[in-house]
Amino acid sequence: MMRKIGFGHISKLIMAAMLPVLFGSAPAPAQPTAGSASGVATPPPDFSGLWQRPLSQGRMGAVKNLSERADVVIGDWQDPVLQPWAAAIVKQHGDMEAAGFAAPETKQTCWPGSVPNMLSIPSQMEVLQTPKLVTVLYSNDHQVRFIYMDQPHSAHVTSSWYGESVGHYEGDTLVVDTIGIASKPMSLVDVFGTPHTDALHVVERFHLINGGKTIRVDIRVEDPGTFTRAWDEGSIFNKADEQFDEYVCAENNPLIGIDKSSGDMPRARYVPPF
Amino acid sequence: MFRHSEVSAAHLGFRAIGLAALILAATTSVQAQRAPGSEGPDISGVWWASSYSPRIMPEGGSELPFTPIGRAAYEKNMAGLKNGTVEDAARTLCTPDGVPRLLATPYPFEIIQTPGQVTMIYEMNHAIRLVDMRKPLPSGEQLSILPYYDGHSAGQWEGDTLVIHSGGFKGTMFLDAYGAPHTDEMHTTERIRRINGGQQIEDVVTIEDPKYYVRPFTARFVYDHHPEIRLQDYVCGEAHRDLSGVKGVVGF
Repeated sequence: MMRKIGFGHISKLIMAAMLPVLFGSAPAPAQPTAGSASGVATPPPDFSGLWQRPLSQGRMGAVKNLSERADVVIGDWQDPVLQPWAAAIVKQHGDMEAAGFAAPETKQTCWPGSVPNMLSIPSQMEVLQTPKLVTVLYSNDHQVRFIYMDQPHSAHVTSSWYGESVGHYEGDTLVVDTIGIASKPMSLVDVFGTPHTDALHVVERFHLINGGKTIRVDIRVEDPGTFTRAWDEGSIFNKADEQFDEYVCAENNPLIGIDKSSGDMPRARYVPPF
Repeated sequence: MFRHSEVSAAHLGFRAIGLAALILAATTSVQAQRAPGSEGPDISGVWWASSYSPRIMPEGGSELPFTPIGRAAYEKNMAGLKNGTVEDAARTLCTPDGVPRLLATPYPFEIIQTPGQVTMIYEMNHAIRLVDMRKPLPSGEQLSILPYYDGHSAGQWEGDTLVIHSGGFKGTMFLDAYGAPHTDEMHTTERIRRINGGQQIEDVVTIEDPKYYVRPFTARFVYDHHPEIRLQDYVCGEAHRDLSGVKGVVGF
């Protein structure tokens, strides 16, 4: 059934509508595409094709990783960027890891990566660029994001895992503004288990570096209910000369000793066709 | 513990083996030069079927042309789905549907055309198909090294029709929700074109799988253009789009 907008969503909608005003970073409607000082339009940067986030990029998120072991993830829950309730969750996550258990985390449990968490997964990323729509495909569990170009956010954003992303070009940079990312138990900002509220606002700036062989994404994350201030992160994706993988999360799940009580893999409600 | 890095490392290794043999499927430098634009007739946009059938309907109304072992596999699946000894993993675990079951989807899907590639994104279980428009489909032997649920696809334009050849499927899946079987040697040919003044597209798929079917057979799927909607985030186990407007849908 289609989600209905109830009273619980109204405050979120107001917040969503106000975010561009509050933070001044959302794109204005119908921004012109890239142009030059001479007034001659220059083509937008070409991000199309296949990219790969290198494993060497390490963990990315709201706080630093306190763990020295690659297979254990302990977020710095004492970082003052976290509001107390979020710090408690990050601590719980880290305690579980320190005790030798894999704390439930978005990708282990086959929930969508969300924004900005998806940018932290060492996954292939394919970008499809058309004038009205930029589509980002992640081979990791065949996740998809749509970025609607040169248009404002919807008046009423129905919250969802990836929220609503609108984008425009500023010179050689693709600026993506995302709101409406639904707050859910397994919708996490990063691998440290950091939660968020429905007011999460993410601005990503994609640009090419390294002679066009690398995309760098500068990320600004704002969510006053979760963080005491806005914070910035960065992720890179290198040009990949390979085939787009089919990577199905459900296949690997039985290998992971997750705590079923906190984040079971989503399963469909199966109705036999008979 | 099993971590992303380890998953990825293992996966990368497997991929490397696959790629070594899948020489034809390796991405060339041509792809790096892709720029915004489109090739061939425009079939891009959001499309949505107005009716759904859980059973694949061969053109001409005939029964599926099973071989004896194909019929035995079908009967085993049918009985197993009823008594629980066979699992429909595409629905219970949300593994991808594959062709042609994917084509029966009662959810909308989007076609995106970029230079050298046609991409199909299905709302249901966010299935992705990448259709390579620059190289022919590798041989069945090459594809068998790295089978995908949704197969490997290559296409070309024949006039106003996009012809897609697909192979390299996993053999553990069904042609439809009733459990019609196929092997990992299945090959499908789809012919996709706009019809009815461009307001609809049809996808006529021919299925060839000699172990289970004595002859190729075709099925036809029609979708309406829906420029007014956007694909939604679809997650197994959550509430989804209202399908009450799609005839034949029960319990999706």
